[in-house]
Amino acid sequence: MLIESEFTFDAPREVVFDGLMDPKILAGALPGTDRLDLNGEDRYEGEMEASVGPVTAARFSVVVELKEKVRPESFDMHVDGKGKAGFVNGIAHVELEEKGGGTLMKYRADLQVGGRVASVGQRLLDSVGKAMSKQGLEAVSRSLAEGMAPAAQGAGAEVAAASRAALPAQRRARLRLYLVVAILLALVLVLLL
Amino acid sequence: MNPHTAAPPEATATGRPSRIGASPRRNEDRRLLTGEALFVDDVHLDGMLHAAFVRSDYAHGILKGVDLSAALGHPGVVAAYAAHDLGEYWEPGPLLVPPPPIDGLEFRSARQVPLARDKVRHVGEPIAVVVARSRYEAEDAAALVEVDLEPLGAVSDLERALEPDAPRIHEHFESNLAAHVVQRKGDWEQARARAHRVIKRQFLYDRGASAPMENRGVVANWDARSRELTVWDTTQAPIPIRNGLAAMLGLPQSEVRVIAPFIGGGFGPKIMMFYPEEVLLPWISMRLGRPVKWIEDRQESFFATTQERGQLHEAEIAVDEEGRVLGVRDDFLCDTGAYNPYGLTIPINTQCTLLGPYRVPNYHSEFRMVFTNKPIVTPVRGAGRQHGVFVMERLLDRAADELGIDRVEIRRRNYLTPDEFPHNHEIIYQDFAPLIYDSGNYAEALDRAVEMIDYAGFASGEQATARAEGRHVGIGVVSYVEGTGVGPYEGARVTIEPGGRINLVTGVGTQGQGHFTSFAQLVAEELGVEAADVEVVTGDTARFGWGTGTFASRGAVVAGNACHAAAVAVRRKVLALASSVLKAAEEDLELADGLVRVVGTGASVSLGDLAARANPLRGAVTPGTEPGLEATAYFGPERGVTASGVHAMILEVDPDTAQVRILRYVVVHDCGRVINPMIVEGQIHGGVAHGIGNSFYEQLVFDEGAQLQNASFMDYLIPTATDVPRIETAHIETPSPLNPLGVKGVGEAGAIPVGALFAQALEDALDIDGFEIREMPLSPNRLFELIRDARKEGPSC
Repeated sequence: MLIESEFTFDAPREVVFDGLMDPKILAGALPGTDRLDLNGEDRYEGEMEASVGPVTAARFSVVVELKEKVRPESFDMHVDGKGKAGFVNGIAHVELEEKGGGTLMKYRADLQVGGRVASVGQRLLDSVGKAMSKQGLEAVSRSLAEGMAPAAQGAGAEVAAASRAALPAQRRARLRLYLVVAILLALVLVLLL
Repeated sequence: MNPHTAAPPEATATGRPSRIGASPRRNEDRRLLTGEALFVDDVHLDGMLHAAFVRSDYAHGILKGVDLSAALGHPGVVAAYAAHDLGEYWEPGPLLVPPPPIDGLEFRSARQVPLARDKVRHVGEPIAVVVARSRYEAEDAAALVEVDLEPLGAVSDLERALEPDAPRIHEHFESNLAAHVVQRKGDWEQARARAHRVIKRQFLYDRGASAPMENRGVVANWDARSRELTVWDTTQAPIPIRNGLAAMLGLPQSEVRVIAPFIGGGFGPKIMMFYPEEVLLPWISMRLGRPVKWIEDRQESFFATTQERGQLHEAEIAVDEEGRVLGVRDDFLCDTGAYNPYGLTIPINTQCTLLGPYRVPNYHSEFRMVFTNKPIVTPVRGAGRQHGVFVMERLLDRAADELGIDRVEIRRRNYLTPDEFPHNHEIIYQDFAPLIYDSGNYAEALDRAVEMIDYAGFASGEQATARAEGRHVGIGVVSYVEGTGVGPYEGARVTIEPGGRINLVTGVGTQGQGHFTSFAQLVAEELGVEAADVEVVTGDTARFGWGTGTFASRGAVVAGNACHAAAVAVRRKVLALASSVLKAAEEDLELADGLVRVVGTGASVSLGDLAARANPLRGAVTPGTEPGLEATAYFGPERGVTASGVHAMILEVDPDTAQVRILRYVVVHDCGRVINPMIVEGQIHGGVAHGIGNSFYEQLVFDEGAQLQNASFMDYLIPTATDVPRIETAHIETPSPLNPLGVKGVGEAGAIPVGALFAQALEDALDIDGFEIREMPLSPNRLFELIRDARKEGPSC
């Protein structure tokens, strides 16, 4: 299954790429995530639960690995999600382009989907997928904007950038995972609909 | 003909409304309509446990391990099993239909296993089974089973599966080629060389699931004290299941009883035998010493029950200037799924049924059967005949177009004539015998259909009027021949009880065909009673243990003739005994109204009294006789009998929305002598509904990874009451010389030519130059695409 879409953030690329490290930004965009662990460099393991329509309490364990990272331009997400309702695995390629003062994020994923999510949720994938991804990314975008606001009011852009750079690497990694999982969750929610 | 009233029962001199050819009310309906009929899920036994299966989500993979520990710890769970727990009981199922004796045939057999052990080869293949106090608990626990599976690339497409670098489904075979068969008649190359015109086309014909109202189910109960294994099973073949289970479990056949109770539709996949669930439940019951039940749910059925699927054909027809067929060549690929336990039945049917009612002096038919990572393919109502009919009817339509000959006329010119029977087509049919048509009158059926639908007046009349209004209506007429009533044999036993009740028992099962009535009519005819007086038992191996099953449109022919033969034998006993009781010659006796009467004097004795006298409490039974009025008889035909028919349809299509509406549907059918016209019509109506589904609604959609994308009735569409039109039927009867009753089969007939008919009528309605329909099924979406492409490109090749 091919998923291709794009989203525009009102922030420069570096901010988007790095800013994905603030846990506050992603909290609102991750309903149902129980656990997220960093397990090695750029490898995340998590568990989430989704209830959509007749499929209730579907649990998925997810392993995501980030590869081919080129800050602030692009990275690949290797996704392996498994649960009793089926599986989703594949590779998503994320690109960040400068656009005006903001960032155009393009993502393209080639996914194998199987089990019940494939056999029952199939026809909802395309139309609702885009809507759900958009919602999830809008939530991320709002959080990014809120995160940027205090810096604009207070110490100024450089200080904001500096303070952001000072975030520990682990939190950065975790927040990247949150973005990753947000996109993945949006896809999974769509599949389960 | 008004479909609401069957032909009124004929009053005869003896006033017998149940005679053969009449339509008495069905014996089984009261039970069915008041909810008293027993279906497998109605079986409730003390201490019964429930099974749920863990099935593969992956289409192809290496099974590395199965961890049942979490499942076993779930409350309510009594047991859980994976392949390694079965020990020596684990083995692949039997080859149900060996390959026929055809020269040069290549066949590689791969059969399904009770639980996957090393590999999984299709989505839904069973990996483990959990047994618990309730189905809920069993399913919850099944979700806890940990399956360690390493996915492999899966293959879904037929051509891709044959490529040398395709994932190999069975490693011990060199490729995914399951079979290669060539059947020839005459000399195709010569025919092609001297033809006036040769037309070549590619066709794609896909089928679908059988979608019976009742899914599959098994209840198994091993009673160790009485040493009896009872299995209730939604099978079309209880006797072979009994025999196979007894052998596998090491039990004498006499200790195994398989009951196929009322079954809510079979249509083919319930004749697939030794499904994993059928094989496991009895074993589990014996191990646990408790009854166990498994009922399939609808989502499961899309993977766990067999289905029919696609064939890709490349076919050529060679014709002379008059449109007479000189020869046909057909090369095709057919999908068998991950295993092929049912052998070559479907593609052989395709090869044979392609010939239809036509004279085809030269024929070359070649197929390759291909393994894919999809559920197993076995016959579904029509069993490969649809594909053959589609190819031939479409080629004739193309020939008619190119030569400027009317579609109906080109068929008439090629029909076999009544004096050409028996007609030997020289190729081998699914019953391993040469394909020989026994009787038929194709032109008469064609004329009747054409008249009923007013074909002659359509183009200038209704169609012209519609076109002037901007509407698109079209007409289609297609014909086919169907081999039915194949052997090996069936049996029946008729008994007259001392109280006067009459019992009939036969080994076949019933899935709604009306056996409780039509078979009763056969007995009633011989014994001078009403069909309602005959109690029928089918599908219980304890009551009758010799036979095969209900499939291939053979019930009326084979079991029916056995019932008739048993009734004839009892009639002879009745006359012999009555002759001595009434002191009259047998020629002066008649059977009517449950009595034996002396013609003229009125002296009589009831059948019940005679039965009592036939089993005296005192006095010996004389040597060479048997007590009672009972007889068992068998019937085994030397080969199948050929039914035939013509379907005609007028439909309207909106080229902008691609919605189709059937305005009229006509069936002229020849199934030889008709036992019960109402039941025959029911079979035809059901078959046509199936055919409409196959043409415009039903399709199993698999992606490249062999994942099924529409495993529910939300997305797998079956026709509803608003999609199936009133069907007008007429009958031609060319009795078969191959059985005493002269009957032919009718169960599948309605479904067979509908795809070809749809294609022809749609082309006629749309009247777009060069627009051809070469695939089935269609759908509004697909039809829309085809229309759009045809309009854009103009005449295609």
